[in-house]
Amino acid sequence: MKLHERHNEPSAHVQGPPSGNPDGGNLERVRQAGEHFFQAADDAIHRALSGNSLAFLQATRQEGGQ
Amino acid sequence: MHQQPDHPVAKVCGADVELGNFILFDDRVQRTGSVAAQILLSHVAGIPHAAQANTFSDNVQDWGRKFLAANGGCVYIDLDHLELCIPEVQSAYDFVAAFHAMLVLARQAMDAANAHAPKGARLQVLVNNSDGLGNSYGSHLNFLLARRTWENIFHRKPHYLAYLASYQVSSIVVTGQGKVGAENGAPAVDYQLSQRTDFDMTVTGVQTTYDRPLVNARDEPLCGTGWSQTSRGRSKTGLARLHCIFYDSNLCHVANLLKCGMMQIVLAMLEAEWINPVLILEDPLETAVRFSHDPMLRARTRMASGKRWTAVELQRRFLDEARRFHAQGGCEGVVPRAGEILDLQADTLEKLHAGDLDAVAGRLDWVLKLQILRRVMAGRKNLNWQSPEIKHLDHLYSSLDTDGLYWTCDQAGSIEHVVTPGDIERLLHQPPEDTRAYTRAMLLRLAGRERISRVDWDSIGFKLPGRRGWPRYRWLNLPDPLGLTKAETSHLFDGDKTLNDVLDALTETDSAAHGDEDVSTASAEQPCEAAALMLPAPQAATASATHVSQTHVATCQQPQQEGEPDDETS
Repeated sequence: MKLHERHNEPSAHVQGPPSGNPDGGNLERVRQAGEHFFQAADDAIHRALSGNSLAFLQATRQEGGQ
Repeated sequence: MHQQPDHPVAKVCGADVELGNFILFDDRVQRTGSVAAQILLSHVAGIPHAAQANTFSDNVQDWGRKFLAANGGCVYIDLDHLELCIPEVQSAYDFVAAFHAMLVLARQAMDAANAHAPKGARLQVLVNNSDGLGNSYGSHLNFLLARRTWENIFHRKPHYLAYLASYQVSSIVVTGQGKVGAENGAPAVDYQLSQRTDFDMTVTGVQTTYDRPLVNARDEPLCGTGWSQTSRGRSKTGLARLHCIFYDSNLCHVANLLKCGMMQIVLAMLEAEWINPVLILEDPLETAVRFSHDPMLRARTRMASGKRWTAVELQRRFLDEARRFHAQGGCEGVVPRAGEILDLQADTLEKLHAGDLDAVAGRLDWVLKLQILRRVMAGRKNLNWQSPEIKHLDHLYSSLDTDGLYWTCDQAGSIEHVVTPGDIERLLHQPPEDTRAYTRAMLLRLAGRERISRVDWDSIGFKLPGRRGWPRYRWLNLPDPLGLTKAETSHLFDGDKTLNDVLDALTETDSAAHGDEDVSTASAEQPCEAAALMLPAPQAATASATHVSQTHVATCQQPQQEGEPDDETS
């Protein structure tokens, strides 16, 4: 067996938290990018929000599954 | 071609994907999953698994199964869900194309059904994995393994199982479809990465409908029996199939590619016994929920080694291992285009590590869905994560209908593609060329429904005209997923050969290729005996007397029905 256990983990990866996140300092850039998706999906979203979401959610019930 | 068990085998991949299906009747709420699945299946053209009345499977799910002469895949109903099975592919890129091809097929069935729907009713199909009401349904992957690797994972080397579980659990940062809320008793959460992890209750097990395991141990090879009879007795050998039930359905091309391709590489590593135990999680079940419930990607978990890593950090270490394995030639002949897959994985993980979610929104479903939902809530202050409208949009993300948010984004050019529309179209109408799916599809086309008695992944039964009014049954086994490719058999289908001619040629090809008694391929007795049991006694005696054993093609005869042509009597 080729056991590739490292006794000294490489330091290539920064161990700290991600440098940015959607709720952090990066937020404005994320918002701008999200705008593009939002505009593309706007019609579908509007239709969904105009319907009866509670009835839709009840209708989605599935019987079991793997 | 038959692989020897000690050699790494190409990581052929299949998939069986259950869809969410139901019918909306204005505002009336009814349980319609079963009838919706039946309507959808009725609009799929295919050859029934048991095309002849005397070859019913003992598995109820198989009764409605239809194999597709177009691409070699199949469609059936599994526990009230329409289930799509892609034909076997070698390349993860073909996996993406085949997956989307099958969705095109499902959408065509849905559109055909809705064209005849009564006023106020509409059949809906969702490519997701939970209904938000505590019911989950799978998007399973299947990978070809050497039998020895299977034994190592499940019966001999528990750290292999733990290694695979660690990889899968941390990979949801790439493979999750995203889900609003929690289910199945999991802690409450606004939004999580994976639709399936709330339903993972144990590390391993054979079950798929309850207490679902991270790593499924179902041993159903669909590539021969996995056993052989040798002079030393009955022994396990040959090939096996890993039935992976862990993952979500992905619509984004990149997520789908990396889900399949990286699993191919990790399994190739296990096959080569290349494993780094430092990457084993201390508690993979607890970690699956912890990672899934953390869309900020900040959660750390404890490794068996005592280290504490985030999901992205752990995935980057798996990537390091995979890169070293690839650099040493480990993926050659086993995982097509592995270098490209690793580069894309590296770039995606780098962006996640940097928190640059907008850079991967066109790659990863959970990110795209999260961004859409956040924008909706930002523009409508009356909505929050608990609003029914937000869960409604969660479902609509994967809808195959015109309200599907993923496809809306795709049409707007927001999705990063790894295959072309032409690739998808090809695998809708043509089988993959480098697996047995090619010969399956071509035989189904040549035979047509009336001359097929039964079809399965690794065998096809034929009902042919015989002598003196008796039909002649022949049986072709397809035990090797890597065998009978286009390169091996296309010449048989180019001319005007009859079905009998082709079956004769396939028998000769197989006999020449598999002289070794150790290969576990021949199982000709089984179908003939099964058919014989369903016949009146005199006919059963005839059937038993005429079957040919120890070859891939078996024959037996039954009385021919009136009106059947007699043009292929041999």
